[in-house]
Amino acid sequence: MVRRLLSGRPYASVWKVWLPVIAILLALDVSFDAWFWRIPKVTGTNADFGYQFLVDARPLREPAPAGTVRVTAFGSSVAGSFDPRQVASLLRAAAPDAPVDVHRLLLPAAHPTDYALYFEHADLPAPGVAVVLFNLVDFLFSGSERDVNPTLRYILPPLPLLREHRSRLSTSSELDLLVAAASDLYRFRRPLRSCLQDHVRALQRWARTRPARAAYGVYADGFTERRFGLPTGDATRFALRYYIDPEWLLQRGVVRMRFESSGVVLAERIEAAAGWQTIELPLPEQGEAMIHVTLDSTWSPRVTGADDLRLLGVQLDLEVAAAAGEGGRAPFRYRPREPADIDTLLRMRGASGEEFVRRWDETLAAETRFGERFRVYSDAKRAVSEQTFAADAEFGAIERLTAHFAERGTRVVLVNTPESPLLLADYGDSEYYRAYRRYFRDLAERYPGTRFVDLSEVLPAEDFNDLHHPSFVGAIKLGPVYVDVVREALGRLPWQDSAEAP
Amino acid sequence: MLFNSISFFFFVPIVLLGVRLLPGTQRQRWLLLASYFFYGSWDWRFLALILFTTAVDYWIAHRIHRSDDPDERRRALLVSVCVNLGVLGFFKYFNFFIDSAAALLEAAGLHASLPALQIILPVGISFYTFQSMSYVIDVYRRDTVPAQTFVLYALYVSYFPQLVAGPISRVGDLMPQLAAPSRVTADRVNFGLCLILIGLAKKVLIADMLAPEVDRIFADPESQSSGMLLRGAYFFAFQIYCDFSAYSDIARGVSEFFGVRLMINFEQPYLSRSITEFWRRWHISLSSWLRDYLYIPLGGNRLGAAKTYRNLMLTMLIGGLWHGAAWTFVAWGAWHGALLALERLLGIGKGGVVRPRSTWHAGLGAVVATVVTFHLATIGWIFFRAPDFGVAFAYFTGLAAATDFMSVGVLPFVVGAAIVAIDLPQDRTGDHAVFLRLPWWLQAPIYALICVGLLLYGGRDVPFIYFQF
Repeated sequence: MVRRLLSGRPYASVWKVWLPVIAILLALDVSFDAWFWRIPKVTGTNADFGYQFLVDARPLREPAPAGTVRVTAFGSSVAGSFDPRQVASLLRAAAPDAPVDVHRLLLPAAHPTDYALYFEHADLPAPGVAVVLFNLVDFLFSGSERDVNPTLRYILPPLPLLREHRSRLSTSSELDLLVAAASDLYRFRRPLRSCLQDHVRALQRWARTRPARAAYGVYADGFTERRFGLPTGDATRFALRYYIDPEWLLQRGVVRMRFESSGVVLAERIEAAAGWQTIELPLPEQGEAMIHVTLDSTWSPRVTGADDLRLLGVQLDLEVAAAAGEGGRAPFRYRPREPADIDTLLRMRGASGEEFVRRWDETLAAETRFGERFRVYSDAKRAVSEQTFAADAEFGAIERLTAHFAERGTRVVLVNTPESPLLLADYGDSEYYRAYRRYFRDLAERYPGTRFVDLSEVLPAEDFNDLHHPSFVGAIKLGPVYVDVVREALGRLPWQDSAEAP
Repeated sequence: MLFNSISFFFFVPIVLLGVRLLPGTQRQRWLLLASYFFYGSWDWRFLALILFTTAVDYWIAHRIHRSDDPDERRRALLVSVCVNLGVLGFFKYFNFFIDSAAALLEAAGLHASLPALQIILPVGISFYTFQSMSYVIDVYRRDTVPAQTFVLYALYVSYFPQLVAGPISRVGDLMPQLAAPSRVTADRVNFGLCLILIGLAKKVLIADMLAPEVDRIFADPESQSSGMLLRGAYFFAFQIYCDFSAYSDIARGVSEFFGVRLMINFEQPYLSRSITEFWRRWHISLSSWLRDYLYIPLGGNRLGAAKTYRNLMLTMLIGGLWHGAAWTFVAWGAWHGALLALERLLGIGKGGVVRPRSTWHAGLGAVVATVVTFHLATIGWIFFRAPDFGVAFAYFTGLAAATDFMSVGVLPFVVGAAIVAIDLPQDRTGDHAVFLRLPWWLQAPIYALICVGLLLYGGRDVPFIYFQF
């Protein structure tokens, strides 16, 4: 059949075949900005850090909403301890009449020089407050990863990157950057690939999801996950009593809840007071006989003890939880959220004291990728005790950033992020580390509107996942600290005392 | 410089421009310069070796051609063969022979401290050495005359599209085309572009996609279920075919732009209905080289059944060793040699490449024979891919355990179907660019989609598997 179909036909004309191919590719490239950024990123923030960076950076191209102060925090992976939603939520709870627009740009392995290059060429409206998050580790491996880190390749502007680093780039890297400068379709091929894969995964998940008509996300001890569902039977009204833990309010300021049934949002609540609350809702006359509750901004680790690592929503009456039973599955929701991986969020499984130190030593000594990588970092950090401080290009880049923002009237907060006390004991008192901190203090004094905040000693060892990344418990604890830092900076804004002040 | 790298997409138009702009006499020099640049981009030190092989064989071939003294001619040929195999043996097999000798002595209870050297294996050395050897042998047999100029001969050895992974071209086929390339017509450009696109799609969208899972499964076969091991074996069978045939497709496609038609190296081998047919379709340039310069000189099938089987086995063992300096490659060769001998004994596989035109019943038989042949070849690939006999043994043991065969999943069958979808039309029409016969409005969006796929999944600069050979 194939032979019959194709044998007798001549080849199609070379122009007719290949010119449309070129035309289609050109059209996709020219219109890239118009279509790609409209496709939502459907998976978690750590699915593709570079893509997430671009998605997070996109809104920064627009000015902050009128009457709102924009706060932009950025840094390498250590910026993970700055949760913009937590900071925004706490700021809003503390000062509802002073709206803020909080953003974070995070790119693992990005150095201050990378951020300097990014902000100098990104042409973004100046934020009210810039929080520059850095750690000693950002300065110990200066620029070495830039040439080989493919993520940074498409984040940073190609031509300035090429100009600045030509001497260290191979010919194929130079060609790569040249083509990237000419074509967005080429430059952003990796996010495009991630986007495609994300949506295929979401589609697979949707195809597999057959939600059972039974309760889901409710534990026997009354606690719920951050998304749970309860059957409503034939009832026409739905009443629920739930407990808001004071700890949740300390962490997030408010607890946001959404109640849905049959795809209809029945109610949205923002709980700002701790204690038992009730809600009563009319149910749709014809529907799925289920009510789905989604909670945002509620993280409550270890509510029932150190070993309890559940990420929880609210607490229900024990009888309600017992009657709910199990067996249901949450319906598919676009955009799907990846379930949090507790192992990476809390690597030492919530241990403390000597047990933490034992587990940490084991983890660092293990022949794993993590162990190998962090032994390198650990050795490099310890070695600073025997080095003389010299401000190299990465330090210069922090100054470039400070100057860049200062020129635009932005308040700059330079934040030295927490260090694990287990290691800080080895180099915290060294001349190098003293000079390192002195450098930023001096820098802050040289530029008006700039402040240096040293958080290197604010967290105990058990709040770390490794040498310099706080665990998610540590990050939650840091939230209020960052809020204080930002509020202090907001208070120093030049227009703060004027009539238009937010 | 890889075919699937961005540098290559700048390199080819520049070389092409030079060929278009320069006068006829300069074109060969320009192409030679480009070919040496291409080869030197891996490691400039390799250039010395290829120049040495080229110079020795060029000089010896002329000497053989000029001489009428059979002894002198034979001596000269022997020098060429010794130099070529000596270079190949040193760079590719020195440590292998040393290790094997040490293991043998160890087994005999003797402890010997033999020297081991850190030798870099020059890319494509097996390919250009065989190509150069075939030239000298052909001159010796008076099947061809020596190259008129050193530049032409050097270009024949180093012509960049086929330099590092073949096809291993014959002097009678390639050299006249290099001396006087034919006119590049629109149809040839069309044909070349189509081959390049098919090659890149096979390499980037199939072979490179399968590679991580193949690596993972072969890294620890003991912890895999039989189903996963079967999946790994299928995936490797597809990976190596798509990887290697992709190189040949791209090489042929690029060469079309220079007015040079390279020989076909793969003729849809997984559609073979016997291992004998498989070797008429797989790596044709190597199998025909082994046939013409090893099997037939050994006596071929002219010296009785026993010697025919011996010759078959010997040819396949050497063919296996050509692929790499490891006993697993020899075992792979032995497996194929044994199957070829068995088929010869049973009278299977006569009559060359078969393109069935027969009835439904014959078609069903062909499908069964094709499936069986594919699985026999896949068993051989396990030896080929395993880094040592320990892993190969663990792999076969795991397969024989017959645990959880369902874990093979549907993906191997989807990939297999995709390969059949590419190969079957080519096989039935005998035209590798058969898709160009589809209406243009159907081709254009499909090719654009493939280009987007290449853009998204390419650029990782994954080398071709056969570069290591």
